[in-house]
Amino acid sequence: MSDCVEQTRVGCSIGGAFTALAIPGVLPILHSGSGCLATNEYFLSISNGGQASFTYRHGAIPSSNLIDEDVVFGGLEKLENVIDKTLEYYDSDLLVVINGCTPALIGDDVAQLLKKYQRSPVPVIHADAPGFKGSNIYGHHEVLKAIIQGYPFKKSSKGQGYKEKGLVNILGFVPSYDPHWAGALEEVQRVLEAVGLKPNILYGLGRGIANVKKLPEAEFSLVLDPWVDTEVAELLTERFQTPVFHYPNLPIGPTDTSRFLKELAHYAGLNPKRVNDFIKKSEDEYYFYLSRAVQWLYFGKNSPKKFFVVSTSGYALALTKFLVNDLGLAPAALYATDIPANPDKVADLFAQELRSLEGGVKANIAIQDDPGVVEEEIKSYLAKELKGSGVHFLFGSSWDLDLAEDTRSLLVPISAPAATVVLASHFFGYRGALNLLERIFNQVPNLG
Amino acid sequence: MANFELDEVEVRELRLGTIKAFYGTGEELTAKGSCGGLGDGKRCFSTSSYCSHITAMLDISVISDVVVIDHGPVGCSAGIINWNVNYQGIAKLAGFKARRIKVVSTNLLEADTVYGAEEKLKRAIRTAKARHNPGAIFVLSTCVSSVIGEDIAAVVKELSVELNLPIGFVGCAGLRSKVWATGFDASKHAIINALPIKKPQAKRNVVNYIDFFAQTTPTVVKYLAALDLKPLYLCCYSKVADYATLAESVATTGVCKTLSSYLGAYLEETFGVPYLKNNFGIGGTESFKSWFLDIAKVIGQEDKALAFYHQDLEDYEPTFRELKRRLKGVRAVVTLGPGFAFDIVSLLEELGLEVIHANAHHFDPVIDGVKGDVTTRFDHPVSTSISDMQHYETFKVLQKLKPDILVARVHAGQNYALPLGIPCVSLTGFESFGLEGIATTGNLILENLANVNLVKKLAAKTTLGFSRSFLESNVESFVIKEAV
Repeated sequence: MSDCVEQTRVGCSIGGAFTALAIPGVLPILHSGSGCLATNEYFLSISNGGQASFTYRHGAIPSSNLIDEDVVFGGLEKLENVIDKTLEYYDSDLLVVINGCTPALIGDDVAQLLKKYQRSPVPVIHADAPGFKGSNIYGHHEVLKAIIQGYPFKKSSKGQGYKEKGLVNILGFVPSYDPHWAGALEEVQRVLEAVGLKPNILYGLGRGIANVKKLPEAEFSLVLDPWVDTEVAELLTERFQTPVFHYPNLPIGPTDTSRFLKELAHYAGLNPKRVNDFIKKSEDEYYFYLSRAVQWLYFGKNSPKKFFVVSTSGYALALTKFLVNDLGLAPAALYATDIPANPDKVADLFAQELRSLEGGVKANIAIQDDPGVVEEEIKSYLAKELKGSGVHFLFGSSWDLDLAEDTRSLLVPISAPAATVVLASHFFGYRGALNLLERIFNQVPNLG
Repeated sequence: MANFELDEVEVRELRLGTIKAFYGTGEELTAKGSCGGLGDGKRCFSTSSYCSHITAMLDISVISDVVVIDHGPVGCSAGIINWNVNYQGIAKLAGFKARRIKVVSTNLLEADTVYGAEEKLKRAIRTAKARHNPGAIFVLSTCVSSVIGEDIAAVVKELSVELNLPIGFVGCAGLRSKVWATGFDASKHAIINALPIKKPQAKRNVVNYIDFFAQTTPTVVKYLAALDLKPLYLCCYSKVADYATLAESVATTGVCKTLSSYLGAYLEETFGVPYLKNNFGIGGTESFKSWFLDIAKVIGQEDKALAFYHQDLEDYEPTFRELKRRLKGVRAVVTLGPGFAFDIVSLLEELGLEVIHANAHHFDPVIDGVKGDVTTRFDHPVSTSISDMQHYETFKVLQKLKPDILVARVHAGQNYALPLGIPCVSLTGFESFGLEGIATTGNLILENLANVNLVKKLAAKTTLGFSRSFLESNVESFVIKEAV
């Protein structure tokens, strides 16, 4: 862990509130300072896809707003009042009390207070998420773990330990933090249904507490990230004996997506013909659209061939595979800046995945907590390049505007904070790759 | 009178008697404020808003050659990206070159809360100096560094000597103050102490202009040029070296009283640079004329100023007449910071609108000033509330009053009007500054009223998650303890 972090690419664990807010009917209550949610919201939402939470909104998220007198007297009385009024003023299916740094430092016993709400018609659970314990991804994990451990799951009417054939918990997404989460999950739903699975997704339109209730009944959990939600999947295994299929990343483009679907089909015992037919149809669709742009791409222009990545672990890996295997680009310097909880394990996974890049291309993704170091390293990388080396692509965030200008790179915002407006677009699979190609090609000056 | 000698700024609620919970009329607010009898109320519920740490950071980080060190967990400074995006974007429009804001977080972790992190802070300061070679460094405190008792003032003194660099301490831990505007004072307090302002040898034809992003530039430049003056923008786009010269300026003004009063009062008290605290030019023709004449008075050029103003006004009068005709009787609710809210009420009324509720995010009964404190007045019979983004209340007010338009800013009031089918305009200050601003404001409102299809359709498809009993209740104020 770095001594300091500049141009941060993570928020703090209070940002876990946005995971709660992404599950319709789940309302977070902040037990924290008055600005803790706002600073995370700027980073995770307003300046990241132009997003907002969609039922409970900025300006009416309950919070105890602690000040110095609460440090002396404790903040539980304030919290209790906020919970009571929240139960009165809001419709919700689940309240998640998220405590920040100050209550943790002064020793507020939130868990003890919440015992009072054990018979509440709306369950009230607790996620301990002080900012000094970790990033917004830590907070995301704490919220999910609080739900799995604290939600009063009922026994299935179909018997203890009932598992529904084909039902699969979808994990590895951090809503809001990934500005493309909503569109990507819709596409996950479409693709998995096409190959015969029933995805159980917690976040986004039309989902909610019913999906939370189905968590124990899934046949398996699918994790689509190098490290995000792996510990959540383990907890589901521990509590509900749910096995896990871990694919290293959310795949982008035909090569990785087809591999993913084949491995998934093998794991889940899906109908091979159905899966292969879907793969063929999807690849044909992808190349139909791409090939129509190739003329434009080669007319009078030499689109950059080298690329930098400064993004989350998941996108760094997925992008590198897509850009090398499907787009024929060459990796320059690649960084994962989402501060993985288990960096050694993630580094091993990167190495293993990147060994099989096609055409003998070599790549290495460095895990770097401090993007300030990344900036220095990219500049020194360029200083060592041959004279006449061309322009690069830089897949990064809105912190990279100056870096792109200084290094003559074409910036494609990928990871938080990405201050472009994202509605339904996403980068997952075959169709997501086409969205990404539009972003990439639109950065190339039209000279032909 | 503020005490500029302390390590950390005195918070607004203690220094000025600032409140953030009130429901009544403007007249009651002013009457209680004037006699020193305005205590803060209390609401029965609270929702997340902002804090003084956020405002301190955004204010000080846009000095173009400073590095800000945030002594806290990484999340406390994560949100600064939003300000940076605005800063770099608006700079282009305003004709300034802006490199990204530089904020280094000390990334405080659990172990740091046990063992302390002053050494870590020192390493971060050295790293910042090596990486960016800044003109100055400012270290901000957070709730965590404050609760665990980090002695930032001592570290700052030590490293300032070691690195031979101005290093300031911005005491802005969120929990110190319930008023987010305290952060604007905290940043100015640190500037005053870290970047010594020199006694002026001579005056320059410069006016200190304290603004967020200098969006008022065209009007400010045009009017000051008429008096052979130039603006020096603070803090945005300024450089460390500018601060030594502030007392050479003829006066201090700005777009917002809340933002400008601390530094303005300091310059007036210490160096006799007049702080033009009565008019900020965003409240309609009289407000703008007075702003301009206040400046002209300082340099004895009132006649010239008046002539220039009237010539410009002639150009705008036909537009104003037409706007008044078209806007007559439009019912508006205003929710803005106190630096804007009450002035904007005057502006809207001048344009023919009927303001039916005024909400300000806090209220300072007095402001920092030189010869005794200056009382803030809003002698208006209109229904008035003071709240810091407590939008369950905003929602109930809007639901009851059903205005034709909501005039808001960046504090999310719009989220609670649009679901009710109420159109919104955003006024961030510059839109309403000067004669051009009056016209812009009028046009913005007209354009937003001209086609409300999106707003109506959104309303039909949006819910906010409030309970049925909340939606059906007649309660509009959640203040349970009356201000006394």
